[in-house]
Amino acid sequence: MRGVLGPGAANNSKEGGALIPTIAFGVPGSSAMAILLGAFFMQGLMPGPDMLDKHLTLTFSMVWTMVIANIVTVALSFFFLNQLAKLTLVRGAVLIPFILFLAFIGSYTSNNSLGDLVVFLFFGLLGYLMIRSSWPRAPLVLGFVLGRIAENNFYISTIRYGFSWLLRPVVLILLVLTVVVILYPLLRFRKGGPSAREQSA
Amino acid sequence: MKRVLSSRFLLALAGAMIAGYALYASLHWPFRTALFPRVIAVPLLALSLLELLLCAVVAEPEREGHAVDFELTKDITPALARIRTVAIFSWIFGFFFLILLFGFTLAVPLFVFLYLKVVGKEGWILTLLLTLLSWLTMEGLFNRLLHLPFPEGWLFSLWT
Repeated sequence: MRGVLGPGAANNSKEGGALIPTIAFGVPGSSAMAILLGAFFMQGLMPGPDMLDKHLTLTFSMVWTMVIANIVTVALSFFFLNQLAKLTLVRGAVLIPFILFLAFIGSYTSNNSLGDLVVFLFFGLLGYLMIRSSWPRAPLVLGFVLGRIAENNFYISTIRYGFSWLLRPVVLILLVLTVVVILYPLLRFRKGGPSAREQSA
Repeated sequence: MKRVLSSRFLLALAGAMIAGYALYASLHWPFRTALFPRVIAVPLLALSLLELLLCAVVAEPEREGHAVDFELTKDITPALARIRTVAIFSWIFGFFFLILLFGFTLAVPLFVFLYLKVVGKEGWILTLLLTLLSWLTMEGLFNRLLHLPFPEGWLFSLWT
């Protein structure tokens, strides 16, 4: 029982921490937060300092929702734990048609368009291929969520400052960090020699 | 040859081709229009080519023990996994075509019925009960209560 409770509690507790960069900087801390960020934009909410100033009430409502949700979850689990545990015995063949039904309805209702079902199928297939290829999917979601903001601000910066904004200290630091993040695994692999290769192979 | 045909290699190749096409297509675009697509396409092309190179010269590392949000099971044989993958994708795409042909209202109970009977091999009572439940959810909740505008199926639009 402790073996299940421990990872479960750790898994739930990370959501609160992931909310901080999502709300304060618009950088989602997990895949779920990337989806939440997309929902923010759909509702016209712009993450950033405004969320800790103008929209502080909304931010606190999210914090309290998480606190209350955890308390309610614990309380309900004490009462219905045995019944809830039986859900794991439901056969996959019974669950799959209902999960697919809800997934299709969910993608259709975002714009009430059948075209969204094609997008849903395409990204489902792409997601599967990415898992097969050990490619992480969170950066793709992040790119879609942040793409529009990045494009707008890129244009604004280029029109206002030309390309000289690329030489500003903060931009340079971020560029260097990006290059380091990309090159670090390759360098570690090369420097490690045969032992690192054996470890990873 | 096996490495070249791996999904990792093919995905990297697709990335490189998309980036290459974006760069080619943006050649004749106005500078401002082409700027952002080029800024994205250049690193995508470079990283995809790097991944292609790694796929060709370095064996794919086993990634056991690393943090992942989802991992495919390794308990079954690759042949069985392939059959199951093809089967579930066929059902998913089949469901999509059912929706196109019959519309959501009919396609959902029809799909639930067929899946439970063919794949689940469930008894008639459970199958009919769950099919009815799916139809009630579709008709009662999404159609009547939420008034979602579901399009007519192609078959019905041909008749009207």
